[in-house]
Amino acid sequence: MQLHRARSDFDEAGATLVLIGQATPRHAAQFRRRQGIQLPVLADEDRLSYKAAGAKVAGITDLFGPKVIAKGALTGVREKAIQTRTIGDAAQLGGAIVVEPDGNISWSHMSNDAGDNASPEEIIAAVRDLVA
Amino acid sequence: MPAGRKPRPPRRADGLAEIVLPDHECHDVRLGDLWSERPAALVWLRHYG
Repeated sequence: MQLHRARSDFDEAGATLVLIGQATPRHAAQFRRRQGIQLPVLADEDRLSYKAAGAKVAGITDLFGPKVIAKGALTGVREKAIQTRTIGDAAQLGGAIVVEPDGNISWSHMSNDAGDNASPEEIIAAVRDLVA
Repeated sequence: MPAGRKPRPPRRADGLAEIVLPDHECHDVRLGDLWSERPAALVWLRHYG
């Protein structure tokens, strides 16, 4: 996972990096083991934080549009990853935010379709802009 | 949020701060504690699959 490989960059930039998924702690633990990642993973089975972060619930074209399919295939090849069984609501999209200690959200990128994800480099750049 | 509506991230994390979620070891984590001392990047996964 790209974010796992970039975790030291977040540390060096002085930021905490946390992943949140829409299932149980057991699923989160399985995800960490399967992906071989050491990042903390929080479990939000009720998707309360997704709603509070303004995450989008996808429509059909957001999941299966030609661009989305192509981008997903490209990511799978690049990451040498195979999509396994989906846990949670398949229409729930994710995203990323950077929060300052005073609670201000200095940067955000919430997904507009299933292929629309911020890269680790974009997120780190947002952190570095904040601490510069 | 109804399906298909554009994402609407808030400008402040006040609505997130009091949410408490278990981590992969079943320890409760209050989200606001993640950024209380230094910036935090929160990444919501689409799914664990």
